[in-house]
Amino acid sequence: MQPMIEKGKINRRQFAILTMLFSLGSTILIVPSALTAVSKQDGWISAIVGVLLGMLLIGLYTVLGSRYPKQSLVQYSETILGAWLGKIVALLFFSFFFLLSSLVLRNVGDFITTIVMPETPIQIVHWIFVFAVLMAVSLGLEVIARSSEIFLPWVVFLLLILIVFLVPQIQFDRIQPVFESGTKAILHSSLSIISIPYLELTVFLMLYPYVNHPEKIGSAYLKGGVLGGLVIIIVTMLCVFVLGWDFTSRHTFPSYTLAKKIQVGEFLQRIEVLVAVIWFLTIFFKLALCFYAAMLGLAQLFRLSSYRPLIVPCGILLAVLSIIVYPNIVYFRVFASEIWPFYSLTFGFFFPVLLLVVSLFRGTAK
Amino acid sequence: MSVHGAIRFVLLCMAFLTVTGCWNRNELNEISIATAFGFDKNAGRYNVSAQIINATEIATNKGSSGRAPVITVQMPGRTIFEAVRALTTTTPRKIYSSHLRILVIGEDLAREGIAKVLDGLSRDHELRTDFYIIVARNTTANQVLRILTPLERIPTDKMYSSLEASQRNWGVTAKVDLHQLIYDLVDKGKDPVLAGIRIEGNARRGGTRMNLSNASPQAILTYEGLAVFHKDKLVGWLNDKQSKGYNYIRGNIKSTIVPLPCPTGDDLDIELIHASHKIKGRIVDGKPEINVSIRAEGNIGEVECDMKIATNEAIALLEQELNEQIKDAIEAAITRAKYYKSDIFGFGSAIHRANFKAWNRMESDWEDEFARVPVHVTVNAKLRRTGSVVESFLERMGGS
Repeated sequence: MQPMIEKGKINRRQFAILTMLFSLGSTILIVPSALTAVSKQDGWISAIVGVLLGMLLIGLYTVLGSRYPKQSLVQYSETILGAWLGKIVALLFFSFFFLLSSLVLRNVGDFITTIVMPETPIQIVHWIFVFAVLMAVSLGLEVIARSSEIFLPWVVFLLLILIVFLVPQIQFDRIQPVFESGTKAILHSSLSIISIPYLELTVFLMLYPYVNHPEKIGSAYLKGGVLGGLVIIIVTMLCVFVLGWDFTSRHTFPSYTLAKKIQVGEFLQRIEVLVAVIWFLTIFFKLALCFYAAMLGLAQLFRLSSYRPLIVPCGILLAVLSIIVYPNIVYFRVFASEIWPFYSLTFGFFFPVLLLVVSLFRGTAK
Repeated sequence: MSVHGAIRFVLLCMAFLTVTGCWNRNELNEISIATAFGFDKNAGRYNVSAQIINATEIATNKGSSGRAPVITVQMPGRTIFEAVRALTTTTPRKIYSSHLRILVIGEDLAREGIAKVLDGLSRDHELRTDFYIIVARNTTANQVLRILTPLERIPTDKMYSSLEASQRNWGVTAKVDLHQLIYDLVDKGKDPVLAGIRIEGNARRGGTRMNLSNASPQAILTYEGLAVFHKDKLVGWLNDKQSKGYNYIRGNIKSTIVPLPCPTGDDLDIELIHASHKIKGRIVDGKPEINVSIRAEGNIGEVECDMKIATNEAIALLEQELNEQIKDAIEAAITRAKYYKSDIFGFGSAIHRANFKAWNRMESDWEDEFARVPVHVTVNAKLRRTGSVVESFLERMGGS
């Protein structure tokens, strides 16, 4: 039996909240633009299709995860594929989580330096954000989960503000004609929401052994995924209703532009930075979980008794990697729409299916 | 102190680094707040004018020092962005444009095309999209921004609130912000419209403090008509009646006055209090058709004739006249727009929404199609109230 690195336990409610916040983080900023780029005013249909397909992915993860309720993804890769092959796959998973962390961190930096403080060096933004994340990860899963419970009401409250105050500006004819873009374009666009966030939800397979009653996790997993997906669908619809598909697809961060449109009378306006707190909170949890999964995976891979000594060096690596991970925002948009889906498909679909098939074949489940 | 304590102390000190405020702070005494920009084009170069608040003059509650409340500066440049930055050579501070409320486009530039100057505006993070865009009629944007206005210290505020008030109460102008304008430019089934502003009086005198000290100012700014664009080029103007017709179709009328002729001569005014609109496109035998239906409710606002209005027949008659007046304005607007081949009403989008396959077929030559498209206008106007009195006292005077 390997040493139990994480001693904390979270309950299924916390697991669901984390899943929801994770699926919103950075998704809500980037994805509406990608959804409307190909399927235009039908982007919201793509979102619905994507969320439905995402549910199937969560089903796959649940089946895989509950076969090994006492082990994390990295651990049962070894159990299933044997020591060497398993270690290689586990290392690849670590690289996936780590790279994802750096991309998410860069989203924060790009957002702040594009929209709020363009003259602030992006490194400073990253360091401050990484500092908070390192603290969260070193405090462990239980602390992250409990703080998610504290911050969830804020996210919900701010989302409600965003939605309610934009209702007067909805123009229904912007969503017409429905289904103009055709099935092919709708499916093509839905790829973006499948890859961000649903294929990334493999991160949660690292948390399985630390949840009470891991065998009953499925419903919590699904609940978090559905709630997150619902918010993305609503925000995408709002983008099309209020901004129009053309504006949505051309803007770097359309949901922020959306928040800028809030204007109730002469007094309630310019509250977009308040609403931007949604993105900061959700991205924080996404980044903390990705980084946590990476650290835990690395420690388990090398049979360390604690992942804490890895945090600071890896945090420094993370901050550096996030700067060099892509050179500019155009590169990122191309990367996110053309390369990332296939990359995340490898880790979010291909490897889990491989593991599941081999596991069924060899019957190593505990 | 233990090692642990020392580490904690260092961490605590590091936390202070994060609370020093923004790197990107803009202190009020380091910026010039621009409330309006004006774009002109002159010999292949852009001329950017900015109306900048003279903070010391605005802030004071006591008598003013005699200086103008705003200054308007101008700078040529190859591009808009270059010119805006070059403005710092004439202003003491960097121009801060988050509080921009009005963008004036000179008529010459508008006729050449406005699309190119808009990109920078939508790209810059400092600008919000909620400022209104208007066209300087028969003059340059720079001239418009030079006029000082007596009732509002900042002329931009005058332009802004006058536009809002006239759109709400009179209905012949159009509030178009950057977002709406770009939306209209991109939408192939709708051409943009902007409000026009004109200088009435002596433009040269209007720029001096003298304009503020006269009871009847030397020059005033007035909104007049709507600028009709085809794609991004100004092609012509709508007069007041046609502008009102345009606003009926687009559902922009909140309230307006409709004068009706009395059977006995003279006039009678109806105050519309509510109007709603519906544009429906359809394809009949492969040909596009547009149905516009307007519902309106009004009160009698002023009676300048000795007509007996307290009868059901009179109200029915007036309702019928009201219908015809509104329909007349709408048809005038449509005829004018068809003459310019500019689909300012979004009829193309209506067809697109109704039948996108048919739209894709006719999208490329929609401007010709638009000039031919039959438009069926139905107006359903109702009179509800007559104000605080029913019968006019003029009627009692009895043909005196």
